[in-house]
Amino acid sequence: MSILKTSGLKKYYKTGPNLVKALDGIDLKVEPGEFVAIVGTSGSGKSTLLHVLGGLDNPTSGNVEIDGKELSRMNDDQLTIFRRRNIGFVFQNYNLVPILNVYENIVLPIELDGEKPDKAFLDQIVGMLGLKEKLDNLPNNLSGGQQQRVAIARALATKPAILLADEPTGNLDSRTSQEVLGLLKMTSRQLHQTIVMITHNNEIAQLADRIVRIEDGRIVA
Amino acid sequence: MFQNNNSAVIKHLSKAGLKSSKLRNRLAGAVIALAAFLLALASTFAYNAAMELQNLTHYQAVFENVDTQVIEKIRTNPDVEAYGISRRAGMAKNGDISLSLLYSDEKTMELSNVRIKTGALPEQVNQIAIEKGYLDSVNSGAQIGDDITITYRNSVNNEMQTDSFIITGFLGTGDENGMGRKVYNAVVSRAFIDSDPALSSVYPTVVIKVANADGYSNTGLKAKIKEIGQLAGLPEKSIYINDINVDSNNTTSETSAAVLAIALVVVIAAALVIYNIFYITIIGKVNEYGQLRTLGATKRQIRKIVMREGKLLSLQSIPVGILSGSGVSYLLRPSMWLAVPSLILALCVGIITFLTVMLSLRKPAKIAAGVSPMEAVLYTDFHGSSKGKKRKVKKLTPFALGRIYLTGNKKKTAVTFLSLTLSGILFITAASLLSSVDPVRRARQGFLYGGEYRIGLNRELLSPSTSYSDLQINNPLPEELKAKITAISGVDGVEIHKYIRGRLVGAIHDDETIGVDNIREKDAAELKKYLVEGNLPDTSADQILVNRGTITYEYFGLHYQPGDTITMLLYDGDTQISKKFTVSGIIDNDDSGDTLFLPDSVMDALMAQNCNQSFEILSGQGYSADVEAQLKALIASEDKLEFDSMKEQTELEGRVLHVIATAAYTLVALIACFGLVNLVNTIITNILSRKNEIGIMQAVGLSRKQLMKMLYTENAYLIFGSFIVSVFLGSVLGYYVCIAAGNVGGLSYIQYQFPIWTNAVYFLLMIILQTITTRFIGIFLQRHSVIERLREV
Repeated sequence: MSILKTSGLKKYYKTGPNLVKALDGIDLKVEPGEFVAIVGTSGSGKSTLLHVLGGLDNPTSGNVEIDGKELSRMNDDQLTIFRRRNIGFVFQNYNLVPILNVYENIVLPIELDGEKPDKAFLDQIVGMLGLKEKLDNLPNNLSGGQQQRVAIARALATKPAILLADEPTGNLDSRTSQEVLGLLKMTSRQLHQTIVMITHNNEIAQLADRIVRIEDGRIVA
Repeated sequence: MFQNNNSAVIKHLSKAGLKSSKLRNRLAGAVIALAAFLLALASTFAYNAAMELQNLTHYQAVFENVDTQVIEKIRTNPDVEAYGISRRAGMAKNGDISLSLLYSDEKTMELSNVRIKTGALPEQVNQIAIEKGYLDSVNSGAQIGDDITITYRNSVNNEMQTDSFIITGFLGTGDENGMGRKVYNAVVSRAFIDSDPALSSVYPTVVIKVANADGYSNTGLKAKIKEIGQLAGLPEKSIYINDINVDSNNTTSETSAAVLAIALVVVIAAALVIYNIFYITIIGKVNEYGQLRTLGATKRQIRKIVMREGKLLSLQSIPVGILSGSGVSYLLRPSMWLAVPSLILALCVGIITFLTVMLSLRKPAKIAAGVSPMEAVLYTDFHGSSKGKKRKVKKLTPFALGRIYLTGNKKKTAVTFLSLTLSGILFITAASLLSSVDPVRRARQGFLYGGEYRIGLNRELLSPSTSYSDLQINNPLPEELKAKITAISGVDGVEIHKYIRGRLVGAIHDDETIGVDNIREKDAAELKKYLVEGNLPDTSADQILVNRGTITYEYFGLHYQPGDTITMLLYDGDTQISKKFTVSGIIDNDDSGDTLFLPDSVMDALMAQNCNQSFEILSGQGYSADVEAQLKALIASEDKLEFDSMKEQTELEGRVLHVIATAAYTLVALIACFGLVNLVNTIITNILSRKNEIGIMQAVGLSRKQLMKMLYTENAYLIFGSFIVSVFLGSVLGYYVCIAAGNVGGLSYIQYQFPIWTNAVYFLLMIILQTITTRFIGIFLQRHSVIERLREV
């Protein structure tokens, strides 16, 4: 059974007199534990796809089903709660909360859910991502690569059904990029974590199990 | 020299800056306008009120009994700028309302602020000009040209007379709009005076306007008046000083101090808010400033851009504030408005407000100028613990997040908290003081023996040339009246206040008069409580008791000890007697305004005239309209007497207190607006500056409810935190202000009361405020989706 399934996904915007078809009928299936890269040029609709997949944005029509639950049937609050339990996000600009330290950033989704963090699991991912010494630090005092590792740890902490990564290496130099991608690949293997990653870089996409190409809001390969 | 002319680009950038932060500009503009409004209102109102007091009359002295030779000497004295001649004709009484009849030339009318509003001055024997207010208050619809019959007591022979007059005009006077007036004026003709054998037999009264009066100190002016009178050959007893005019000659220091205090509070409150608003926006725009720096703007230029934004805002807002402030001040009392000085004051207010804005912008401008190109990239609103770079882990509930944000930017929180607390403290302190004023206690000061009613010499008749000793001639408070009062059913007794006017020979102000009050036999026990030295006076000897607790004691520079001899000149009707007393003892009672005391029997024995001042009428049953009606009927035709009751006095005090309270609360409410603007600004910027962070938290699972809880917590800490601090500090301050005020002589009616109702209202207001702000946040947050917030980087 697919962990992620979309059918006929469309997202249209009106900008002035023009109708922009950001997504124009996307049918996509992702299997559990799969590492999928969605590749496209700037403006191809790949970021919109990720936002719609993550329930951050509503599609104009079509469905998104994650772990058997249809997102369009949920109201705003249900969606928020579903998101914090089932979807992990990694953004290009890390998007850490600056006033919270590393540990707090990582456990934020769990604590917002009123749950206690699973200590053993946390230790495992913190160890895997090399953040043990940095837990008390505030994000401002970390390098870009370190900040992105915190973001990955935060995304993994809730053991989500799916991890959505939006250009996770976009702000990093090539050496750090390799390191972060390696970590993503490793978590996919070791934790059997489903990952959907968006990138414009073919080389980076090669690391994934499967590559989906998107152009003008449609899947082309 | 690399001096470029870059003012054009700075002008352009600051204008663009203003356009880009409209919300901030509206708030800051409102604060600047409000500050200018309050300052303009307080200063112009106080100034015009002080001037009105001074301009009630324009003369500084009254000379009585002046013959033609003396008038000639006054006319030729270069120190006299103007003088007018008048004669008193009589006094008519109609229930509570009195009408003073007098002849007065045009100059006297001008100097007394009396003028013909409609019609003309009387010329014939049977003509009169009168105040319309008098006719209204006696329900007469008489118009100009109508006949009016007046029964009055002749001022010279004290006989009752009835005459018929034709009204030629209506008078306007300085206090024609005064509330609760009881004495009105009417002007008769010179021919009327000449035709009356009694009135024409005495010399007229002259009022004097001293040349260049503003150039003298108050005491200097008084000395100058004496000199003018003596040069003209007048005996000292004919020279009277118009104290209201002379004492307000140089605007009193109390008024100035009050205005300065208000101004200081307003300036501080406004400065805090302007500082905070700009501080917050500048932090939000660090990236922009960083970019400008990258593009080559110097620190000086950045600072100039910020300061110019403030200048532009001031130019837009200050005129609005001073115009509306002056406008409201004008509307409050249009009759006393002096346009030119008020305009100058308003201009000064504009300059002060402008300087306040510039001063409060210095720090924010410095912060903006200090931004380095690199910092721009890294800067976040949060820099509370960047020094420590580490923070202990906290449990992350929405409440905890709210607290973390509050403590994250301590400065912003502190400034908002401070400005909310400042107005709160003011509010509670004012409320404490106002609720501690007891109208009953205050009224009781006029009814010291516990009486319900008072019949006394008519205080309305007191003037620069009429004193209690004048009213005591043919004293209208004889034993017969007392007997008639006692006979009324419901009256339990009558206590007599006696009073002798006199002068202390050899004291600092020995040219001014001082009063001697009576001691009843039963007062002995009460007076002994205050006795600090010596004994109460012995009725068989010429002994006097002195109260060292009064302002008068200090003013006359007295230092008495038991055994000292006091020489006094006592006024007995229109004669004076010299008398020596031995000080028997000293009391210290700052609540009593009376300085010198003699036993009843001694006072009676000294004076040929009856020296009664008032009858205080005791009634165990409390107030009764029936008793009041009977008492009023007893004195209905006696113009030299007035009636007063504890009930009426309490109501009057209540009304006065209400007016003061309304004014005080309005002022506090306006000052509280600064705190509110600060709160609104903080709340909005809390959301605006954190759009992105809120987006992140929502993306990782912060529900709308949790977000609201977080922001709610932040506001609650500010609102209820400042409430608790305000109530605590305000109550402590209010308590000490009340204690201090209550200890001032004569203000013992101020007894500290916790203002429970005001606190309840304040609490309710805070709940409403919290509810409104939360709703406001809710509406605000619905305007953007999570994804829009995430894009905000």
